[in-house]
Amino acid sequence: MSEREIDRQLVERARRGDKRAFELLVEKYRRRLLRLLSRMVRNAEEVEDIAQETFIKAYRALPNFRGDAAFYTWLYRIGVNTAKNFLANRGRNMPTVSDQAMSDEDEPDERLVAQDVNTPESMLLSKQVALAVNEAVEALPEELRTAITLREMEGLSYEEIATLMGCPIGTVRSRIFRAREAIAAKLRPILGTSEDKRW
Amino acid sequence: MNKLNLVTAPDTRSEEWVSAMLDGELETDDCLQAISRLGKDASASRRWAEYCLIGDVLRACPQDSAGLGARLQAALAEEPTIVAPLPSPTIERRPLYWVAAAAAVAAITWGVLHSTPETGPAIPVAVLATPAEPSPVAANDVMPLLAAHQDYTYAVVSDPDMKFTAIAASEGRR
Repeated sequence: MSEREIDRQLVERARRGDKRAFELLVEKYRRRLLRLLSRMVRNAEEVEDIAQETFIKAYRALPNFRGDAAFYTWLYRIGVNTAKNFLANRGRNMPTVSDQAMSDEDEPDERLVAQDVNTPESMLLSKQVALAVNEAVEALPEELRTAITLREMEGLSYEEIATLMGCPIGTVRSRIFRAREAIAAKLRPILGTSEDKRW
Repeated sequence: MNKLNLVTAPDTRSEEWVSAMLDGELETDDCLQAISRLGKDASASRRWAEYCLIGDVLRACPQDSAGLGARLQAALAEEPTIVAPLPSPTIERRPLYWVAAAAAVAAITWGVLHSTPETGPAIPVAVLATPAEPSPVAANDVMPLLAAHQDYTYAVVSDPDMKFTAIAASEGRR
């Protein structure tokens, strides 16, 4: 089942009354949505307010989601419209960023530098998280580092990674899982993540 | 293709399936199980969140403030729960229903065409049929009702002929 189909299944569960399914989608896409919105709105607090409004609008509009487009495409469209309305109400113009660059998440425009939406208080935490992730990746055995990099940064499928690395798909799956676990182990002390903390 | 059953694997302690699910690398049946389990399993949910964060950091997505997740969760909790499942599966997904319906129609048609009366010659239907006549009693019963309600119906009030008919019927009833 592809990522798109999994998203659609989560949407369907949310439509059947399972809010937790929608929360999983929020968890998956909220930072990507922030990246999109931060290209339109510069103030960090406003970006987060718009992101929150976007998710609530999306949740309310779930009955209208037909599944013709990918969930994230639909969500980003709501986000862009919410940001446009926000800017219009404030009497501001959007930065000169093409609509194509804003809506095409699969091929992000490299010319655009993501704005940092963190407040000063959370910037330290963000830096710590980024540092921990990068250090953890560097410390991984080469086969794990290659597997997680090809997956997360290049977006390759397990089959493509298996072909590139010359190993079975099961091995790729295991390497990516182990890489994630190793990185997560470095993050948990920083995040203060406990077993019952879901966000 | 080449996707293994991880959710129901004997080693249930392993949560490799969370990682595979995030990447869209689970079989359909496994995935449906995984989605159901993910919503209930706190440890799996935590991993889902951690893996999402790791991927976003590696892709250089901006990180949100510590409170956004909690605010979103609180805001969603205040929203009324939606219950609007998609319509029943599409025609393409349920061909057997259409095969069964077609078979039933064919059977009924065959039965009608091949059934013959056991006694007596065939009689033309037109001979047996008698024209149905409206029951005057029934019409008289209905007309007062129509007359009583005509004020609520724009079309009836605006049609002088029908209004006349209704009033005449009402007076005839008295």
